[in-house]
Amino acid sequence: MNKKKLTFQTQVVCIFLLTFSVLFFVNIYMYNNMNVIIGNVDQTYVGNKNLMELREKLDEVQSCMTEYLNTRDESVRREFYVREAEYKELMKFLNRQILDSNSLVMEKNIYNMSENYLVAVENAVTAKKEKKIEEYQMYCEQATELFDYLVACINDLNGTMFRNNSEIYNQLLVSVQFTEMIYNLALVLTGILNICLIIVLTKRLTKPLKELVRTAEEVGKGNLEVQLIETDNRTEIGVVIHSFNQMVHSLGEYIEKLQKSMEAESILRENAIRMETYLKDAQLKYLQAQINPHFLFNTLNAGAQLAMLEDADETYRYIHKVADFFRFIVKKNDHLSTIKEEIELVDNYIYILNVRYAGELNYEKQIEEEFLNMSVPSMILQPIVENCIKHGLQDIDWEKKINLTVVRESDALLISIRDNGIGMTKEKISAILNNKELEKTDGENARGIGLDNVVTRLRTFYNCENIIEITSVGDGMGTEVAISIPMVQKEKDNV
Amino acid sequence: MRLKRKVYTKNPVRIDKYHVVIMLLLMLFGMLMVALVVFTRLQKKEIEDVVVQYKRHYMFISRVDGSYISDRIYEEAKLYGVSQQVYVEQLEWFPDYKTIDYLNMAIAMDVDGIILEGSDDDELRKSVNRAAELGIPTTTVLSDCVGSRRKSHIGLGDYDLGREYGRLIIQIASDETPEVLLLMNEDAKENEGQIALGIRETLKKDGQSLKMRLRTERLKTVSEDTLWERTKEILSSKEDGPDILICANEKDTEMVYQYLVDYDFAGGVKIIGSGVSETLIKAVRDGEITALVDVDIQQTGRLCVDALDYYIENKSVNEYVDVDNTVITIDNVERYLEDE
Repeated sequence: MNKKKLTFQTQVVCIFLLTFSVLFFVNIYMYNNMNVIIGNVDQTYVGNKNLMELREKLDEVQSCMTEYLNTRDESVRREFYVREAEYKELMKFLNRQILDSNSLVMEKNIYNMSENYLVAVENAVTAKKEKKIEEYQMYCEQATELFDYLVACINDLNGTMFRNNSEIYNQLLVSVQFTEMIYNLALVLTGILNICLIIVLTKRLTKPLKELVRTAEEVGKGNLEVQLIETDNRTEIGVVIHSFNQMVHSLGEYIEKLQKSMEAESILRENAIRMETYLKDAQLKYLQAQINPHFLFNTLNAGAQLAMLEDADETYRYIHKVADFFRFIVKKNDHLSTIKEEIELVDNYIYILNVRYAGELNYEKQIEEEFLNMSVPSMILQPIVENCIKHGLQDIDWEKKINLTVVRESDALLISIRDNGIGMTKEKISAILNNKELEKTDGENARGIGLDNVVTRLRTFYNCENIIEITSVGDGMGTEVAISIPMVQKEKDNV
Repeated sequence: MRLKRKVYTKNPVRIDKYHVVIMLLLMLFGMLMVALVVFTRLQKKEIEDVVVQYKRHYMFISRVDGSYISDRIYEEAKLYGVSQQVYVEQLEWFPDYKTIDYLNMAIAMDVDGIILEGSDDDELRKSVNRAAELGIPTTTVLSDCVGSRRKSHIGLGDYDLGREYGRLIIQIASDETPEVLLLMNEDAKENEGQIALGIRETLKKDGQSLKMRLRTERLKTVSEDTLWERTKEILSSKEDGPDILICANEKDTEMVYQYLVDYDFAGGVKIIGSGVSETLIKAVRDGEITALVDVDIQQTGRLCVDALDYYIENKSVNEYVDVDNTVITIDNVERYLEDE
């Protein structure tokens, strides 16, 4: 059989009702008993009061009788009967049984004497009315004698009762005081016990809540290893605790799953990066392998032409530059070179092209020499210059200029290559920067390293998307390619 | 990450410390309530008198001046009456009231029976007769109301009393011709012969060597001064002074004893008194009174109640009921002192 559990509210109400009821009933019980005792105190002198009234009425009856016997006045006789009835009414308060109490037996004696007295009085009055002189005198004497006895007995009983009642009254007063003290003590004890009961019951009721708060604080601090509280409480608190336990449990499982997912994703990302790196490296090596023979071929043609047209010094110089150029290309397999080396490569390339194109390229450079030893990825400036010449300057009919600047700008080293060629559209710049120009480049100019290759390598190396910026004002306004190398990198390299 | 969670134990009743404390508190509550109820009951019991109801009500009327012995008899009768469901009452003393008044009051109170210490008084006789007419039986005790319609008299038989006096005379007589004086009330002249007869027959039977000279003095109860003077004359007389003085009632005994004390009288008179009171018992202890003779108090008290009961139930009873006497001498006085 399922035991029906009380709700939290019902339990609280039960605690209140239990303690309240106990206190209430104890109070009612004691209040009623005190009323009974105080009622007894109030009744103490009632007997004396009744006796005094009886005595007064007896005097009145006796007076009426005497007066009637003296005057024979009918109104007095009527009054006599009224007083007699009143006296009989008062006699009802008197005891008529033989009981184990002097006072009660005396009451019985007075009652019997009163009856005899009333008979004598009535006989006297009747005899007087009937003018039986001897009879009324005899009854009068008899009545007077009984009256004296009654007065003596009533006075005696009154005194005795007063003494007894005084003793009883004093005893009752002491009893009332003692009872009051005991009841007060009982009330205090009941109150203390009630408080204890409330404390214990509420503590028992709220213990799971306190445990829940403590556990929640621990969980809030991130300690999911905390031991969850247990309860078989099926109240609202039990439901909250159960839900909390489920929540903490679910949270733990979720975090566990999340950690595993992150670990897996991290591994995947590492693999992807590694694959991309491998791919770029392969592409670079492939491009390097592609451009070397091609350029070498052209260079050699140019050298042959120069040898034919000019003296041996210039030829020598030309061949020397070409040799430097190829030497750099062939030598640079470790991916890194200094800015100085990159600039020398550009110088050689420009020189070779100027030899090739009869010096139509006007090449200028502003270099802050303190940064010449800074390491950068190899083959980043020459492809840019090559792009400037091929796409910006090749088809123009004005003087072809290329300007190379290496300056510091706040926390970065700015390498700027600017031409005065045909410029680029925004779409084309965006395509280059987003590597969408790769296929085209691959298709049309497969002989050189594309600008997008440089862009990708720079971004990968510096892990920065904004490492390179291409700006062009408009058609015929030239193009500037700016590379911002973080100075942190430079300083690290210097160290 | 594994979260720890305890498995619920589904015990049907799980006793924890809270249960124990709660049960303890409830037990304390219970004990407090029980104590409260018991206390209240005791208080009520103390306040409420347990009243016993009796089936009869007898009035005990002693002489107005009263006596120690009559008071003791009343106490015994009252005590014995409780066991017989009879309430024996003695009215309070009212100033200027005589025995006749108490008797009339008892008649007016419609009591079931009257125990009266009688006397030779016409008014008393009339009242006893009136009580008899009204159906209220009267029994006399210690002293009779001769000639009345009382139903029974309970007291020492005069002849038996004389025999007891005779035995005491034999015991205490210092010579073979003792002079014995018997002091009696004036109204007890009928008893005189029986007492004297009892004394003489005892001496004749058990004290043949004694040649006693017995004379009787009836004291007139005119006034205290007269009695005192006569007592003085008897005790101080060189010629007529008795060797043994027998006082036939408690009042005379006390008067004689008072004389002995006041005058430091050491005349060698041996006194046999009547009545048992604290003063007289001490006098026996001190050797000033040789012996005290009186009724057996307990028996007398019981017989008073029994006589009335018997009459009410059977409408007849023995007119004279003799009780045993009690003799207090130096040999047994300690027992009475302890009782006192």
